Amino acid sequence: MTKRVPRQLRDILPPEDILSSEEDRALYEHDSQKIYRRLPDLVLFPRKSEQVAALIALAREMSIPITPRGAGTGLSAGAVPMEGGWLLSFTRMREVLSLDPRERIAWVEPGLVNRELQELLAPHGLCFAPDPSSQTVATLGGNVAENAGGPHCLKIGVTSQHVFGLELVDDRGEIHRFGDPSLGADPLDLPGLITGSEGTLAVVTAMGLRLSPLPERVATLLAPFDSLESASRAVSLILARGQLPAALEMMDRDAIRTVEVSGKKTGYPDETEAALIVELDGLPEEVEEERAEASKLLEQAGALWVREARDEAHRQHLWRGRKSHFGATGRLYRDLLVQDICVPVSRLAEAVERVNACVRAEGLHVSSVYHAGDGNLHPNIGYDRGDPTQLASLHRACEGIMKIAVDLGGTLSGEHGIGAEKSDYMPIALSAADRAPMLRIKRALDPEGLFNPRKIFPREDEQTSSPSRLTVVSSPGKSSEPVFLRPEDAEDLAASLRESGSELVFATGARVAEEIATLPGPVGRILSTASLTGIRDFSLADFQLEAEAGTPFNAVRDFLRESGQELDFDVPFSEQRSLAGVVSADEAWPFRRLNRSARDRLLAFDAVLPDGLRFRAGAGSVKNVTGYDLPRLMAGSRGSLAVFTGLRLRTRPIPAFRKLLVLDYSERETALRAGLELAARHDFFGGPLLLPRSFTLDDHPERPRLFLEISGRENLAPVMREKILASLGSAGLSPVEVWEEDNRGTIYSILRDFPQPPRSGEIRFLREYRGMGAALIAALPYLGSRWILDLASSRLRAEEQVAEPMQMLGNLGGALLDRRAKIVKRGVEAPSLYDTVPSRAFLERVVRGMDPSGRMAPGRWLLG
Amino acid sequence: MADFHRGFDLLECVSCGLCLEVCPTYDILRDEGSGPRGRILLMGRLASAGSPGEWTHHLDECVGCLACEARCPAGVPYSGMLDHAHESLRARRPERGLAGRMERWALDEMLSDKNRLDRLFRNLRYMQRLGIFALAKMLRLHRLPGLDFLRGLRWMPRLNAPRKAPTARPKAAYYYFRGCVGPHLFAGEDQAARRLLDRLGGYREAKEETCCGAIHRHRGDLEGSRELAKRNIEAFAGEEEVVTTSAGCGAAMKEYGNWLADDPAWAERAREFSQRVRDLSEVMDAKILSTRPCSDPMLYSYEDACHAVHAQGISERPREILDGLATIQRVEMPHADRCCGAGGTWFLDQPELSETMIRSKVEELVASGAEMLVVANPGCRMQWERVLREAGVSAKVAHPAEIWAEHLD
Repeated sequence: MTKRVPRQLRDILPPEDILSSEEDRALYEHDSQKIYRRLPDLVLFPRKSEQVAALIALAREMSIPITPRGAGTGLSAGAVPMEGGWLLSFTRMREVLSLDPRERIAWVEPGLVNRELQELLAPHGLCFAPDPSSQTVATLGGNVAENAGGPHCLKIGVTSQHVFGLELVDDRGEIHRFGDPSLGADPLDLPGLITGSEGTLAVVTAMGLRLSPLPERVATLLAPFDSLESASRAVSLILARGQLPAALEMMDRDAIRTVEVSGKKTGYPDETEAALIVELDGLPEEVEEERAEASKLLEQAGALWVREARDEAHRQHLWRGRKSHFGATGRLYRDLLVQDICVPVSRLAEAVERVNACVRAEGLHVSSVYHAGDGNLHPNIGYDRGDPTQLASLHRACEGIMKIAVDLGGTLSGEHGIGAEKSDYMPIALSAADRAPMLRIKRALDPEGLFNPRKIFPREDEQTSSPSRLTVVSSPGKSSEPVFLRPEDAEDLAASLRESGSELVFATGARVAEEIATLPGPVGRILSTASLTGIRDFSLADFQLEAEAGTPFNAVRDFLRESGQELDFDVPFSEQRSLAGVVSADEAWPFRRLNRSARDRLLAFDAVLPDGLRFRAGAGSVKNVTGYDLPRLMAGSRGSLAVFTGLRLRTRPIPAFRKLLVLDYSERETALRAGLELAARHDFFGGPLLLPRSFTLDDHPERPRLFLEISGRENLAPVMREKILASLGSAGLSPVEVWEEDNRGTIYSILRDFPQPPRSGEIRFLREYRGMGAALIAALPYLGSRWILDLASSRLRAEEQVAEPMQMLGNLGGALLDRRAKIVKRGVEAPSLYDTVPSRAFLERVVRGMDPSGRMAPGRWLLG
Repeated sequence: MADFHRGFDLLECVSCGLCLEVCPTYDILRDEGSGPRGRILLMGRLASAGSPGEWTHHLDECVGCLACEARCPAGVPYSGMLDHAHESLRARRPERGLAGRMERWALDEMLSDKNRLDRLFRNLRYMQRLGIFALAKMLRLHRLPGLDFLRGLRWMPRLNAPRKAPTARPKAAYYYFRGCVGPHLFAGEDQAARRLLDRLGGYREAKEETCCGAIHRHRGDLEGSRELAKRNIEAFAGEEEVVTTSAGCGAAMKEYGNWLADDPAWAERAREFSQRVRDLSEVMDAKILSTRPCSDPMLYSYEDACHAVHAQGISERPREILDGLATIQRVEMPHADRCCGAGGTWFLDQPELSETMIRSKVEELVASGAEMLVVANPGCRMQWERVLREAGVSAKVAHPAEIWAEHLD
């Protein structure tokens, strides 16, 4: 039946961008997961953000559900319009809005295909890291909606780590834009919340993506094994080194055979039961060593042989085969369902065995591929959809697989999403209390259930009533002293929040006195988590640590050091900071590795909502698309959403060497240019930090000094140093003097001596604003003798007497922040493509979802 | 272990969508109906639908380049399914009017009769010399009702009379399948192929050779195509390999075994025949070519004809043989294996899509800096020559056989 097209809709879209006939609509009733089907009422092809906005406003007026769709390659029925309505196909909205190869960022529209972006980037020596198997056809919008992974996210992270900004349309049809590529630029990681939300919170119309440099050298090893167990053992051995390969894939016997039949033969031995693909990348010297090391480990684990991809064409062929596996399995089974669970890597072998047994016990066939390094399993289950008993077996098998995942400390989805397929399995992983904060955010952003209905949340949640809307708390007014409490445990803390009624609440970690001194106004209750201390769990095999929220940061650091581990980021004054305090502020400076901050490393947490509800979010697996990414949202939220009681973080081995490379310049401008050059071109160090030499009590106080931290394999120090100097030399920015320091002491002592607020101020500037370099250069002479510029997180800290140049920078597209990131003055106009300041109204709705009465952390963040 | 080689009907599409990457019409239109995944669903609908609706335009829009079939990891036999869809569509909406009669006449009377085709092209050559086509183009006769087939004149190359070439031998290593239209449109190719085959051990011709049936099949006349297949199988009786310079003809003849699989009287013979079919590049021996050094090689780009690369998997070998020549140097276009939009006679039915497809290819050719485009199929060559002429690009177009023949020792 051909559907009638409302007149108002015809005013928004031309006829060729509307499909209304049944035959055309039927092509959109399912994605690559063919069990869940539903015919959309209309299929619409917007080409501009304004059209999307108008469509959503109209849909809201007419109460028509909206389901966004990319290329329809999803595997969890995420793009199936479960309640009919309008399906928004983004395949015709696919412009590259901007590409800045030097800053390594791009703004693109959601319909652009992942491969198309890669083709565009390759000539610049860049790539977009997420590479799901469907990347040749899947759209980037779909990648963002499902927080896609792929083989190569093992080393550099899934989609959410590579999305810095978004443009989206909310349920009222309003367009919002936010995000900046600087590290930890936005206190609340809204792109992180929306990424992986499967189109249930808003409709994304443009994405700001971080681009990664293509590795200088790649080596791809192939190793067949005569059992899955020995292949899994090889995975553990390789991961235990601490150095992550670029990719670490495993295939079982049937998977290998399907891939071999559909492409050119690799020629595995007959007794092959499993095979590994190990890809190593990095600096040539690094890859040489790792290849030798990995080959030895593979052989030690019992590889039948170890071979390397002959050349780039052979390597491409291997990956093409691996990435075609899902389709190729169509040769094996009449109908096919791919599962996607993620477990801690130390439990991989156990998961493999239990999942296979579970499926076979139902009388079904299973053939699997594994992103083994991530602990991500993709069992492909064959069934016949015409046979009701097989369908029932399939559902039982899937439920069993979910239970195995959760039982092993993992989660329901690593990269395919929950969609319609797994929504009813959600209670297996998340209790009603754990789902509550997600549901509150959903209801705050989409109260009418317009966006992608019947996804993610189980049916039982549809009946749950909304949290009671408290009226906004009146200011305490009375000059009464705040109540100060130091709860003994999480339950105590929850009770305290429950009884706090309508008081303004301020949660803090260890630095109680200091925090109180900087409170912007009266609060009713101050809660300190200082009594919640202790390491709960540490797994060296999984590189994971879980600790109580109030554990001092230095205690965590000391504990990890005993096992040769550390966190990817470090902070000064660590003895005064609690773990939760550092994560709450998403502290990422001055030292971090691979541009990672707390929000990239927080796997799971326990917290208490303002109304006293205790919940847990995240899981013990490194990939997780099971509901909204609350860890990313909470890291950096500064106590404005909930109060942490425990945190689970990813750790890593302490590198063999770590050095502070110090570059001296004779004048500030050259030094700054050098710092900008390095920040744009390289990723492999902490920093660069630029400061005047006066701090180090030198005899040339006006001379600037650039600090970089390099770390890695023992013999790489000179290579990295050479690389840095060569790239500076070719840009005509060679330093006058270079040396190395063995630790971070210099920087930490400078930071200790730095005047505290209000005697100093801090500014974050927008990296995306092209004039920023020039503005900084203009401001340099006025900065006096005490300032620190972190060029990776685009942050300048300086003494108060230089407020004027800082104000000037703020007006030039930056935002002046005080030390706790409260915006003092916003840039008048951001002269970049996007208004990068978080869209306040949208942000407010997110915060109000978790804290309806707005009584948490008053004044700490935007809503104060 | 499940069986990897199950029947035709069980090799079902799992909707993985990987085919969309290589589909030239999806690349332009970006909706499911314009890609193989959607078209497969529509073919299923066609089988059960009473009368074909407006939606069948999606099936007409498929150029039949078979890139999807080559890409499909599940081995879905798209080309066979498409042939049946075309047949079903043809049965349900008979062509009417002058264009329909012209098509019928061309398929039934001309293509399948070599002598008539020879006479037709001789007449066409005279008409071209007399400027009649130029006049028709100038007067825009194709705009008149019923005469829109005259648009095809734009694609007509300069017709040359056949030139002298080594003659067939009664006892020879190969059969030469000259094809019906190619030698008339591009006499140089035909002559070059004969010279090469002569050096490779000689060739003989089949007196009763007829059209390979590819065009019939593409237009849904499966019965007609099977009849032609049988005639060719009889005409080329023997042990010799059957060599053709046309990718389209070669691909079709390699499929005779499938076309006639259900005909017990012919199935075995057809399979045997298909196994003897060779593209010229497959029997070509680089040793017969001169490798004299050259200091100033001409840049050329190699275009994969769809029916060579996707249907026959021929792509590297012709390039390797050409790479052995010092006078030319290859520069690749990023999408050399993407369809040029000719598609047999498809360009006449879908002029807009066809034009969009070839235009983006011209951009790639120009960007590559090539002074010559090498392609081994007459349909593609017509399309390229026409568009380069109209776009004012000076690059010339050649068949690899012509280049090889120029380099005979």
